[in-house]
Amino acid sequence: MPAATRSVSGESQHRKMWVVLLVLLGVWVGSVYAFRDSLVAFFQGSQRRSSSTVRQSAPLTPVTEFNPRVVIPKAFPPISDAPVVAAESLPRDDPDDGLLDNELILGVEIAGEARAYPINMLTGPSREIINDRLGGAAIAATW
Amino acid sequence: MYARDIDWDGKKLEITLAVSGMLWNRSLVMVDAPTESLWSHILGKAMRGPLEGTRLKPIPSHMTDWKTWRTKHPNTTVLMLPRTSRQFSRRIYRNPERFVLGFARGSDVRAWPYDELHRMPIVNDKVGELPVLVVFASESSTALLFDRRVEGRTLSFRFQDGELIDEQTNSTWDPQTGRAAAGILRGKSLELLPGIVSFRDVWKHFHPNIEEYAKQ
Repeated sequence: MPAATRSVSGESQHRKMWVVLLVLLGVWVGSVYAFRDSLVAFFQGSQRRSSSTVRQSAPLTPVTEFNPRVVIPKAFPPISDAPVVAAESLPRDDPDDGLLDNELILGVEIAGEARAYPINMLTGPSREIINDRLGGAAIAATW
Repeated sequence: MYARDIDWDGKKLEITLAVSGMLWNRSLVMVDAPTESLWSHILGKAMRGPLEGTRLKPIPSHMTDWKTWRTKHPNTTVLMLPRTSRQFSRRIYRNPERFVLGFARGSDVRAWPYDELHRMPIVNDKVGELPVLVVFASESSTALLFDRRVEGRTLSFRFQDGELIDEQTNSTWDPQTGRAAAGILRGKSLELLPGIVSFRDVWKHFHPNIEEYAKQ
């Protein structure tokens, strides 16, 4: 529609709608980030606390009884089709589009097929289990 | 690293595992589809639900740095998800005493602390009756665990001039793959065992009576 025939009020309503959408998007992204950080902190913190403060905190229950504690009320969806790329397609020693040479990975080889799972992609409750297939075998990479 | 194919009631079942949102003694509890049984990650065993008692078969894998891995496996693929952390400075390298390489088979359990492994490149050891070799590369914090038996014979190893050599035949072995590169046993391989890298105290809570290797 040519600009000359558009009414002025229609254009500003259009703009208001975009502003509202952008604000909502910003709020949503912000809240997801905040929640994710606290989740990650909780899981990492629970493991980190264990070694430096184990003497001060209450003793863990003896490992005879299976008494799991609910930390997050709902299970995470399983990861089953995580993207996988060939090493040669990655730029060398590049933390943004590739991997750094000294980045830690979990490596596995099955029936001649090798795959690396970077630890930096497995930390946090949403990533600790990757269901995968390698060399014809169904596997779970866990951290 | 576990295999997802299990035997259930004489039938083969492939399960999919997810993070349950529960922790057991600070350790991950997994839940499976289709049965919704609960699994202990550190024990590799279903603790509750229709599959209770089932054990997952561990698959040998090891932690190393990217450069070491892609050099050894040039055709490797790699998982590519957005990073959830950016620990490029490698906490495991700065605080090795907090980590162990652990191995459990049946009721035999053994763990080798990373700070001890830093002091020596290899350890000839036993887990119960199983003769094992721990190989450690300190630059990449890579710990590998092998079965020391080859064709019915148990080998013992030394590290000499940067080379891994067995005492019985003086064959030279590649410490990253467990394959003999030269000597009488050239071409033979040591079986890689599924050691787990774990926080030391979390491992201890599940295996309180373990013997930890300590150099005399």
